[in-house]
Amino acid sequence: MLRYRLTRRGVLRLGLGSAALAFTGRAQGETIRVGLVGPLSGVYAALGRNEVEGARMAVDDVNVQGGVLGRRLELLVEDSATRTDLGVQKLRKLVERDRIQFSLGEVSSGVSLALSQAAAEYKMLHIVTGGHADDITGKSCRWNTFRIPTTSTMEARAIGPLLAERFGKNWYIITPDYAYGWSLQEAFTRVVERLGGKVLGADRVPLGTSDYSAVLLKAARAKPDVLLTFQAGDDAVAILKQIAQFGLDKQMAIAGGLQDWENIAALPKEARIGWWTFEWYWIQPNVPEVKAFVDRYRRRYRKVPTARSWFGYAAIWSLALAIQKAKSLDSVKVAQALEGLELPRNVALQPGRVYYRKEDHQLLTGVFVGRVRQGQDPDDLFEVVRVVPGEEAAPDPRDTGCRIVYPG
Amino acid sequence: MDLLLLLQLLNGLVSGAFYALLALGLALILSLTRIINLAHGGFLVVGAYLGYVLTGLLGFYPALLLAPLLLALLGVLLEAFLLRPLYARDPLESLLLTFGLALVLEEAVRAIFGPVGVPFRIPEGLSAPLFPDTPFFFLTRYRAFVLGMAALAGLLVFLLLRFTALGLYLRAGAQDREMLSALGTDVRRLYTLAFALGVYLAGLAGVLAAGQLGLSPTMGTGLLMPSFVALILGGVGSLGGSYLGGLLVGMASGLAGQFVAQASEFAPYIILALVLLLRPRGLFGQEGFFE
Amino acid sequence: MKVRFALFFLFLLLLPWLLKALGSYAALGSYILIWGLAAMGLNLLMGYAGQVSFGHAAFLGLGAYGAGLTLKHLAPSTPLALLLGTLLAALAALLLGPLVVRLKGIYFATFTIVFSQLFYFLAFQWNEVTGGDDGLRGFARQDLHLLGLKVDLTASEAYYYFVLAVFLLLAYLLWRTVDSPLGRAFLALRENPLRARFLGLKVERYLLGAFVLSGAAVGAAGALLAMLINFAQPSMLHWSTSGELVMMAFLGGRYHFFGPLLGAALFRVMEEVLSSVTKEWMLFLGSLFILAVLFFPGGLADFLRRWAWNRR
Repeated sequence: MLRYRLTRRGVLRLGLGSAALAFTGRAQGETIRVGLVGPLSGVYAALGRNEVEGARMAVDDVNVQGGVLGRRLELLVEDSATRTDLGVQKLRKLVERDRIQFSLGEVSSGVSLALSQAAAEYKMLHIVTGGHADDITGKSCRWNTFRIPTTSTMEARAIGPLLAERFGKNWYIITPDYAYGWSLQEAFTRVVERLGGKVLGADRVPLGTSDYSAVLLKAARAKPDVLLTFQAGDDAVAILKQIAQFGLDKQMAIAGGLQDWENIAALPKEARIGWWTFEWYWIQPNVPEVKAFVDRYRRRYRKVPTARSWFGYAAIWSLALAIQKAKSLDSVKVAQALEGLELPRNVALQPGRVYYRKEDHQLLTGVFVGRVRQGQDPDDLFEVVRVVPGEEAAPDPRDTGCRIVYPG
Repeated sequence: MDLLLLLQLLNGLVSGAFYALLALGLALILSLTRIINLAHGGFLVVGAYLGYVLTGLLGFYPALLLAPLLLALLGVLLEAFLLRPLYARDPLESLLLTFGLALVLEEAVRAIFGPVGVPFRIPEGLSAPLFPDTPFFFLTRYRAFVLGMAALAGLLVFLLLRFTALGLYLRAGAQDREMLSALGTDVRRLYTLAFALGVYLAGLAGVLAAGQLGLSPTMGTGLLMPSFVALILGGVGSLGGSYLGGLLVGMASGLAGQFVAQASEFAPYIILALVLLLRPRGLFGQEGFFE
Repeated sequence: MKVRFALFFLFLLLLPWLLKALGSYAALGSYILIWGLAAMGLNLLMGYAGQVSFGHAAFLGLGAYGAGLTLKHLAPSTPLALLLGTLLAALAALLLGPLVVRLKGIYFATFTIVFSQLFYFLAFQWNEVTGGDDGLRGFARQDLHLLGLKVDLTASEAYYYFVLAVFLLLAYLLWRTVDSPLGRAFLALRENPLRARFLGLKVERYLLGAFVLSGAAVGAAGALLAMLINFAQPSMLHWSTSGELVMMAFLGGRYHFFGPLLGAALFRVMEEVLSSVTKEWMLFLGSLFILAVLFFPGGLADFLRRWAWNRR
């Protein structure tokens, strides 16, 4: 039979050797240190890693141009594995050990909220680079928190009118059964009802459901003009595959809110269907700065930048520009400088005016409405039909429930 | 309304096919080696990704045949190196080992193939609905294929157990391995075989699931829990019971989902709770097993 | 023995400064103590009474949400939050206990997963109360008012000493339980439940006792955790979190009283170190765990004891 060469001692030595990677402190010169807490492992790892790549490229760009206030920018990244307790601990580590002055993160709304709260405890500015919950710039808004991605309401208001106009006003909704899904359902219902349409039926399906045939059956029988699905990640892959398999996309328009390039790429070709909103796209023939950015990104990372990459990129640049404008590293002053700050075209990388709204600290970034289809380039998966300006898509700030109060 | 119910039942049966395959595999492993294989979902995922790679090289049908076999081979290796030393020890340790193994398998797949998942294509011929333009439109050829394969696998295992000498040894071992060992049989080879067979079924379920649900590192966890429910529902110690339990759990979820959408996720847990409290032996369980 | 204890106590007292000297940060100390307490609580059931539970994260979460809700809606009092969180967890254990203890072995373990997922579902869906997937926020640990003195707990070091105090108190209580006739009864349950029953021990009642006590201890840890990060999230209740507790108790040594604390320290430190080094740290951690099960089933505590013994 088989005998083990490994003895207890051998294994132990191996283990101790590896663990001898002590907690290493980091060199602290005269740099401006920005911490990024994001999911580098786990389910959202692809999104998190793209965000880091975008951020790193921005840091290099800023430093090449001479840094900020004459000092170099330094980015420190920690893995949250999409866990709140780990994420907050990592933030504490970044503040207490590495002495960061500003923070960015996360992909999940829950962790983003926890990070922004923890950063507020340290009176530190925090830019949310991935959470989409309305609350972040709504009821839970804070003086120290700014957010780059769009909100559920913005997505609905951007794509809703287009769907109603092109396909019709009878909609059916399938949404994941938790707060985020409910908020999307609410937002889209409001939009269609305001346009004089109605929701024929809505099904809330538990997260992690792999078989959607039951709900799709019900949806098919209702015969809507548009079938909206708000599943994300693996659930989106499953439901879109099944929609394609049942041939439902030939009977009605398939649409939804936000989609990520990373998810579409994980779908087999026949399931790459539907009308969605993207938060940024790499092919924008009308904006020359985009091509330059994409070429540089591709050369450096050998893949196309996604919206997540852009979030990281824009976040670093926003910080740099605000610090420069405030001429200070004090978070309160930088926050006030960020309010109303407009991103220059080579940072915004999209048409229109892109700026941080003062009332709720939401970046009024454009919503890219379009449909999924295969283009010439193998990475071209989305056809942008319209870029809805942030100002048009965002709700009235008085409706968000946000009240910003600066520390006295 | 009756028609809708029938359709949902049919739907549930297709989900149930996966649970049945997994539960049968779990039961085989459990009956012989007394190990609760928490890594079963991990094996499913590895099998699915093997299927993906082989489909790219050889096509879908050869991959369907070959991937579970390769997975079974991996299972044999892992059983020999990791599980065999634990047979003589506290059963908690093998439980924990399979728990750790589940983690490792999922992470390994994630490390190699990326966290997001990869597109898996099923053959053109299987994509279309079987009865288009009827209320049964959702029964695609692929789903019918899944049902067929699950039925075939179940049948083959049944025949193996009933009519072959090997099957006799397996059933004897499941019933009383001490006696079998005392009679001179090398039970450890039986353990390996049972494990390999169980893992084979997981691999088969994996490749089939990839075509229906999509390939991602986390696809195993959602399928594993209901399969455990099926195992216990059918009765620990009964192989046929587990298989049947899988089908029942699938149908119950589908039905529950029809009335209350959120309930489809919870139906397996509710069933499990009821079974454990009212009839812990399950439907066909044997006395004395695990008590 | 007393010397070892004193040294250990001194070590714990100085931990924040030791951590900083090593290039780490003070809050890590609180984190380790909290998870250590939770693992020790679980071990009352697992190592002493011999039943594996994959559901104890439910108690962790109940303690966390209990504390958070107290601070948010009831009163700005840290001790009250701690107390109510613990009581909430203990109450749940008391209510579930009679159902759970009727089962053994694989059935017990599976049922613990069931109720754990039920609570997870509750935390996830009951949006108005728990904040759902986005978590419970808007609360923070409050200053302590001791004998007319105000102790500000906001700083990581200050909170560490509060956590340490609670930890020592609960560890003492656990020790008294384990070292008593009750504790011996638990051991009897683990070694041979049938015989215990023949000897007249009401197995179910003792198991219930172990279940409730361990639930309370884990609940206390949960309350402390919520106040460490000023946040509570459904993932705290997920059965994978339970799995981590089981791993910690096992890795540290389930047959030793402080074993689980060692296990928690080992687990969290490895997590901390590895996650900053490689993206595939979970893979390493899982593999290390498998190696531990194969070669060090007694855990770290057992290994250290043998090593100390061999050196005599």
